[in-house]
Amino acid sequence: MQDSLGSTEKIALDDLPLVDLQGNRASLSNLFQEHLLIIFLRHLA
Amino acid sequence: MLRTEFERRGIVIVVVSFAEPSKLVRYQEQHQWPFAILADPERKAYHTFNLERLSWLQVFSPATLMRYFKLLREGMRRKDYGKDDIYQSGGDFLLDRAGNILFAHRNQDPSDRPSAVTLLKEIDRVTKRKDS
Repeated sequence: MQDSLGSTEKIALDDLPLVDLQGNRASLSNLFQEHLLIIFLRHLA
Repeated sequence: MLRTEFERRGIVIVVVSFAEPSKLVRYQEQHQWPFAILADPERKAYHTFNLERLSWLQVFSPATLMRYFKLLREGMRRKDYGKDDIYQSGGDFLLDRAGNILFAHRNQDPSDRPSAVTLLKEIDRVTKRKDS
């Protein structure tokens, strides 16, 4: 793992314009337990 | 099972794609991933996390070509989900409730993807440091 630790990086979770598979706005805050691991995909394969 | 290891640590896995939701429905029908899958077709979340487009040299690096060659030899066949952007980079991020990024891994090329075991080690490292 060679990237930044991001201790100063902070994201406004619910400002991200994510949608679910039905196209409805999705809130990351609603998905939390203790931590959230977000995996950003490249193209679909 | 590795998924249980994430759950035991209180970690929810969310997969984000820049594909349109309609494409992701077909993808999920094929793959049946046991995670929440969300779409970011305008790539605003990708930009927020500083995930930019890779260069031609990164996408077609020797490491990438080796990886795809290995996958093809193992029988992987690429499914066609329509036109796609092969240059968009991906990444893995662990966040706490406040939105702090506890670790970030931005792919340097398509083969640069941490394994689940590596992710678990990193998660243990950063969450222990945060708690101490």
